[in-house]
Amino acid sequence: MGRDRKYLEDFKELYSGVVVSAHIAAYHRSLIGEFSQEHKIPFFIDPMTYVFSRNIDKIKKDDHLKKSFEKLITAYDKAGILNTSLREKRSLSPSDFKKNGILDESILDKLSKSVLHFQKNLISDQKQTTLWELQELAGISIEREIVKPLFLVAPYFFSEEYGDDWYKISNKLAISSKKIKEKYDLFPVICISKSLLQDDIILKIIEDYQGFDGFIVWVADLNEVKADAEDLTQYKKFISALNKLGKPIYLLYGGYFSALLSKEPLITYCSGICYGEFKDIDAPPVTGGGLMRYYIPAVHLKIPVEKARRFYAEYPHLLCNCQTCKGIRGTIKSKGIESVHEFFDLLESSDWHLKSHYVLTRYDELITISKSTKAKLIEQIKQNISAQEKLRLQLFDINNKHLKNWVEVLQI
Amino acid sequence: MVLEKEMFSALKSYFNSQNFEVYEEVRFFSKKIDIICIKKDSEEIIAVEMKVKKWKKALQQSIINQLCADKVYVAFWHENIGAIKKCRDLFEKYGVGVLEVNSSIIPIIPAKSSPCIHEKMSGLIKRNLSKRGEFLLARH
Repeated sequence: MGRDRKYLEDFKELYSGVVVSAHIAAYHRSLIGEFSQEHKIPFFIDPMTYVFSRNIDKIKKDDHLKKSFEKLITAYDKAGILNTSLREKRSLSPSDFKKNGILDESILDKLSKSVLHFQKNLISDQKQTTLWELQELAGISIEREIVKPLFLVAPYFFSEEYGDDWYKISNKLAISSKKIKEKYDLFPVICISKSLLQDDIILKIIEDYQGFDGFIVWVADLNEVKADAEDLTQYKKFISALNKLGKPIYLLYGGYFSALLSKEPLITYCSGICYGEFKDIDAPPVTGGGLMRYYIPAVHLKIPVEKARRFYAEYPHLLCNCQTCKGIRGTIKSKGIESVHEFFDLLESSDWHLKSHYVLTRYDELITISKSTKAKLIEQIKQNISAQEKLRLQLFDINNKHLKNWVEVLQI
Repeated sequence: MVLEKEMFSALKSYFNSQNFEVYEEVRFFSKKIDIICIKKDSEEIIAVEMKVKKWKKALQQSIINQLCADKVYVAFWHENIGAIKKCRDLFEKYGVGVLEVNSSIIPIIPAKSSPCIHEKMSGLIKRNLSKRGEFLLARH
């Protein structure tokens, strides 16, 4: 929220909601409330419980736990298991949820209760009232509505195999959370390895997760750009099978392939602003993205800006026509190759340009997806592949193999 | 097993003899260029990617290096030079020069002037060298 806030405000017409990581919510409670209240943007909170079961160095800075995670642990740890594991300088393990080798319902219940309590009470009543008063004093016209998330999200952990301890724990946490959701909808996070996406296991997962109000899906080792057609096919099968339950599905980290899947009713995909189309389970939990990258709509991929500069120096006629890029090009005085350099110099002069180009082009993609048939979208990708053959993309280190995989999978 | 260190040594001598200062592993955005040569009088920049075998990767890297260098080369170990000779057209089309490395350096394909060098990019190279204490920006 900290780094992305400006962009979330500037681009609020171009997205339908915000996923807030719980540690960010813990650190910026009033900011989240203020933002949601002022801009009327729906949000839900990613509980981020999985990070405590992974390498805890990822949530440390200078050998100390990051303040945001300190606050989160304070909010979550009624059962004391998080503080115990930290004291012992280790990550959470399934045995922390067990007594005498068996999963202990009371520990699971305590974690579910505290995680959901955090989401329901992001802003206490007193702080909510204060917030309204401050906003009115600042001349911001608001309707006095309690800030609350779109739905609650159960605590979760990453499962590498079907039925492993973390799978059972996540499933039980979801069921435990369902009992205390009150008037909210409750979504579990199905956070799994792609190895679980086998036909027989998919059926078992669907069975295990019956009876929820919706689902959040994160296949943490599936990168839709690098995955082969077989893995993508199984992913699509899983999402289609889950979709048959008739409940909303949020694909937690997705790019264009996920956007195409979201053409089906009740499916939504999520990503960051110029990051977050894919997230490995062990990626450091940071927001805001890293290296500056430029989104190339024809291959639906971000690449380092210097590679984009080199590519468009070769093919300046292919430069983007989004509002941002067109606006920059309108100010350029030079001609030929120098104009491409001037364009990229201006583009790179501000993160805002790169991010707005990204958001605008992704938004255009979504509009096209919503207006086109599946057949037409597949045909468009095929035409892009064909056009790209002459461009020798690989010489510019731009990969488009994923487009062929996507076509193969979507045609099934 | 050929070590890129041996190749570097031969290439360093080669470019030194042509009045270039030679620098190894110079950062350019998220990667490092194997060799940067800067001519002592004109400050012409040459970028060289050394490869034992993987010519496609070297060509990719060299094409990007054209942003910051007046000329770019791939330096290839002589035992594997056959593969490059078969794709001569590709190197010539993009103006990437090829040097064969043996006990001496043999130019196989001449490099053309970079079609897209940019002052900001070549300035970045010089600044990165300056940060290492290896290049005096004040000479500009």
